[in-house]
Amino acid sequence: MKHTKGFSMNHFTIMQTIIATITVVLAVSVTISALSVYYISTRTSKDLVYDQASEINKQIVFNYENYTNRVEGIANLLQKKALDYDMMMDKEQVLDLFSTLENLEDSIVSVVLFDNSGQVIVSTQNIEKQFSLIALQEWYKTAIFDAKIIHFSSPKMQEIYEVNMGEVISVSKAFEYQEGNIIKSGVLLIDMNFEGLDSLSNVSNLGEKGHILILDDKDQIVYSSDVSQYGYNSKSYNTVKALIFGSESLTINGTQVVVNINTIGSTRWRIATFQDINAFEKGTTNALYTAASVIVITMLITILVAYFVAMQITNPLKKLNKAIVRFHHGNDDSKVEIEGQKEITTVITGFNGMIDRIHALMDEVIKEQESKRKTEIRALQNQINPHFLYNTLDCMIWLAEENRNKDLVDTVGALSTYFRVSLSKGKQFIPIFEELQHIESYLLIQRMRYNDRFIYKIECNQEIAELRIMKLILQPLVENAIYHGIDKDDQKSWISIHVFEEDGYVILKVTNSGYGITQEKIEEIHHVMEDGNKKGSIGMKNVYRRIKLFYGEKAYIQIASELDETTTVSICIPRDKLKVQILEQGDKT
Amino acid sequence: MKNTIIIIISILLLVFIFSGCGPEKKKVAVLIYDMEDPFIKGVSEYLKAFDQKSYDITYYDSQKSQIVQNKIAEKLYKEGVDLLVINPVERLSSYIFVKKSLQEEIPIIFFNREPLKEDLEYFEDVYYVGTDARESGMMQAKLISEGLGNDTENLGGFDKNGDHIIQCVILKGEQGHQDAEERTKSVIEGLKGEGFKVEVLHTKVANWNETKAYRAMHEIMSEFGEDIELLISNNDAMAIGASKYLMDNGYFGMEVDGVVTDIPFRIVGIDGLEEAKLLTKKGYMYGTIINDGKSMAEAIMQLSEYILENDEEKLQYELVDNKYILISYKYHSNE
Repeated sequence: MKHTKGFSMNHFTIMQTIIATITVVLAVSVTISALSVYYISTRTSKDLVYDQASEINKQIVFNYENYTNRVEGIANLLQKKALDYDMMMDKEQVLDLFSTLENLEDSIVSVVLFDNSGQVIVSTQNIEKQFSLIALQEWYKTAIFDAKIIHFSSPKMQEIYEVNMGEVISVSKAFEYQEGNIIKSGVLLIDMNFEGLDSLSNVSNLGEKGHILILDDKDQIVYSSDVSQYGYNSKSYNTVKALIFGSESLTINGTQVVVNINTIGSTRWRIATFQDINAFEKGTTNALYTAASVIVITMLITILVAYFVAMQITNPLKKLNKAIVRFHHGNDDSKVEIEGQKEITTVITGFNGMIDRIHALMDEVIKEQESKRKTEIRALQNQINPHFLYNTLDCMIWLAEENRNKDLVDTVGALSTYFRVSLSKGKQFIPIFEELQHIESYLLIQRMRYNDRFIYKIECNQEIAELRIMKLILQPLVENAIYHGIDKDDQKSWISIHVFEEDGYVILKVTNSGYGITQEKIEEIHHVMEDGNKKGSIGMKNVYRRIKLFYGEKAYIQIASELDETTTVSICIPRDKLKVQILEQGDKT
Repeated sequence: MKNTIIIIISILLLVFIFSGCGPEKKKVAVLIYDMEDPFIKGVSEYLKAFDQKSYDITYYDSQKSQIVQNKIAEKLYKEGVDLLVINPVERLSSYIFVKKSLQEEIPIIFFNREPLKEDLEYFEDVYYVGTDARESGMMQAKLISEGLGNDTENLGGFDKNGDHIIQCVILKGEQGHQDAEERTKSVIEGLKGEGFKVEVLHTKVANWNETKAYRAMHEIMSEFGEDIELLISNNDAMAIGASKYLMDNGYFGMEVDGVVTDIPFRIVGIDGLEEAKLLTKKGYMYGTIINDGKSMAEAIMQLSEYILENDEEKLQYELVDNKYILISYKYHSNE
């Protein structure tokens, strides 16, 4: 199966994961809750505004119905009272009655009773028109047409009076009256100005741009509280005309309004109240901004908090990681300060414990190695002695037999020096010059053995003569030089020992004259030295292993030869290692 | 997991399909002007009784308010309905429903309160089921006349003051209300037509209401008590209210075999409410004119089927001008 990188969380840091997760979860939940709160609050406040608009409409309808009922009540009262009089005799009383009621209601401008031919019977105002024209008036005709109801006309210029009354609303009703003991039917006319309607159109509750529009059943405008919305082309008018009744929200000239249309009792009118809800719309916009800023602020705070929480977790982990890297590169001081959450401190404590344990183990290993090495070196050094001692004593026997006393004394002196250096109070490391004294006594002894058949030369740079070196490393080389390089017949054989410093190495170079050795042989010797298991020169192998053990891999032995001329074996030890060894030795003794 | 979801969705779908399988019932909304009005309440109960569950019929109470009724109607027009049955609060306001119905193409049956003729004719799918208010008054007059043994001279012995004139008090439904005006007018006309002389001592408006009539009786009795020979009420509720006032104040005699022995004057109502029938049986009321709510409900139901199914055979009532069904009144007296 192939892993798609995009879906794996492994590529993110803990901090990224925590912040991303918290941010996403929070963004979704906060947005949802904020929006739902916004939605619910605006919805309820919207419902509230609609309810309020509807309530205000209801109140206004009540006011108008109160008014129309009053007018209707007046008409009914007139009807009832009028039947108590006879028009033949009591016109004056009837006129009094009419006048009284006219004065009762400010908006009533006139009360007139006509007979069935349009002739005026009683009037509170002077009438100018001919009776035939009266009968043609719309209010007159409708009153005759439907005798059972009171008719409220749309506003018209009333031209029947001598005095111009301006636009009036005519309330007309079929009317019964007595004339000469006979019940006759006529028409009662009550003309009203707009004072009543105006005083009722208290639009303050409808908001700044709120207004009222009253239409009749033929969709003619009866009344409008807003001059700018008056007219058959206005949006208000067209809305009311189309909607007929009920409620709707719409925009008029950029103003949000809710229109409620209801009927006014006793009339054929319907009243539309336009409630300005712009203020409310502003409120919802503010609510939206508030909701948005709440979301943003909450998000920012949470991301910040998440960042710090993530830091708390990841910082110790980062330190731990750095410590591990340091440890990997071999830095011993890799312990980590214990901080952070419980799980993390547990890990850190574990890591620190691990470091301690590793240190302990390493120390143990080093100690073990050291003791092992010491044992080994001692054993190797000791290998030299019996071999050499046997040869020397053999030589001394021989000198004694030959009675070469002086030579014998020299040899015994040399042997004494040789052993003094060899023992060196048990020290492993001795100054180079001491090592060279040792080798000179050895050469002295060997020259005696070989009957002066070789000469030797020892050179050493003074700067390095004091450096301490692992003792008895030159002897095996010199031993080989004597053994392989001395021609028994040739009196001119020589051995040269030269100690010097070159390229950061201290080189102990042993050169002897003789046949030399072939390149193949050199390689074979190297091979033998490097592989401890192969048989060969015990001395060389011994030295090789000792310098490698002590001075590390950089130390080496170099063999060179010029056939029929010389053979050179050099021990090369890094100069800095020598210093360290001196100090170390000082510490150890 | 996916399979389970698919199975669940399939089951849900099947449930929805099967549940929506039957043909959707047509929606009928009945708007009552006032559920507290005993006669109208009776009509709506008869409507429920005649309901054969072939339509989804919902009843709404307008609580005597045209504004409430408008609100209900607005909601119904918005939701959509197949037929509106409206008992208007204000007959003059009914035109808005007619206009709206013309827009939305929803038929209307108006009942018991008659909209203006011009409104009914504005849209062909508008009908009216009701009674002739004038007829009820005429019949009330006839009932009274028969109760007096058609004796225009001595009024069958009920002429208290011996002036050969009926001294009466009228309990009027509503001032200016079409039915109230019509009933008041026609009962007097009817009595005169029968040859009686009538003197209306007082006309009291009690808004069709029992309690208002009860209270009004106090004033009436203290002013005219002795002179009253007849109490004419525009409806039963007010007649019942008046009877109860007289009962509570000791105007009636003892009950013998469930029939009252002495009465101050005769009371007649209109509507034929059960309580009025009971009072008539006991003699407290003389009689009532049955405004046949049962037939009205039956006619409305049949007309609904006629409109919704276009089935003329179902309609047993005469549909005048393809618009009006007029329900006849019936007498009810203890004789």
